[in-house]
Amino acid sequence: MSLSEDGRLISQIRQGNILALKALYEKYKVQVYRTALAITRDREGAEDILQDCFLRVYTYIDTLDGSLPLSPWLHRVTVNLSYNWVKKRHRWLQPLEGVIDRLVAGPRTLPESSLERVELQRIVQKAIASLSFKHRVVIVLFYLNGFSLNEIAYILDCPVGTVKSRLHYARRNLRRKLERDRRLSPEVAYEFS
Amino acid sequence: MNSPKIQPKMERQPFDEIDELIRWALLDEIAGEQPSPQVWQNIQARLMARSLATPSQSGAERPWRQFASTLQAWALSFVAPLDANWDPRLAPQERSYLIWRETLPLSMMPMAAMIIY
Repeated sequence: MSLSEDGRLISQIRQGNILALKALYEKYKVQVYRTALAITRDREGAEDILQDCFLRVYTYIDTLDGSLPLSPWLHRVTVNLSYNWVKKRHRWLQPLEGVIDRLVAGPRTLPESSLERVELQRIVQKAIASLSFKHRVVIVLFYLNGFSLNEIAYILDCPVGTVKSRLHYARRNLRRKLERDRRLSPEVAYEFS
Repeated sequence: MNSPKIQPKMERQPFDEIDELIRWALLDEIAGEQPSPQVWQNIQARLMARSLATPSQSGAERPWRQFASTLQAWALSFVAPLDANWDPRLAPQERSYLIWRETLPLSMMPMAAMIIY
């Protein structure tokens, strides 16, 4: 249903219908924005990426195949734009301060278990942020967006084996970082699973 | 890269505690995050600027418009020699008139043929 809807919107955009582009934007804006935000950890950067992504949709509308799912193509553009953004701004390791602030806001009012949750969340997020760009992107696409390995291979324009390898090493690195932090003890893992 | 050690582990234990932790942390990090309405306004403004920068006629419609103008001039050529009082809406526009003037000798041929026969 959604595929044919995308196809219809794509053919309308080809005829210069801006409202069709807006409909497509409304459908995918949150998905694209959150992916860009998870990769760049910067709200302004994520908004710039979202904007450029849909300008590219309009520019390359004639090359899009309306019968195929649009989401992988959009994420391919998003990842490329995110890579350029990260490379240009050198902000890779800066924390997403606003989000972290929101997460840890008012810790004294939270019960102890919530405090621990927030602390564990912060540690996992920090560990993910410390991954290299290629590992982080695979983690975001796999765990946040739920793309299959084949879809991630298309998005990253690399073989499926490379995706598997990156995912494996990213998980291993994360596990090591968390174990080093003694936060992935069986008790804690059990509590949050 | 395509080591057989990697895939079976992923397939056997796709959702162990580390997977849950990663998913949970990522989802919570971006939960409730929305782009501002300004983003769409920027997109619209950029598209407007683009459309103003490019000519209004696309390459595909230009030959058709030229053909239509020539056809209009050719049709008017039947009426012009008779000095007919045409409706002002049919009066040749400047551009059409120039085309008509250029193609007048050619457009007179059907009239000449009709007179001969």
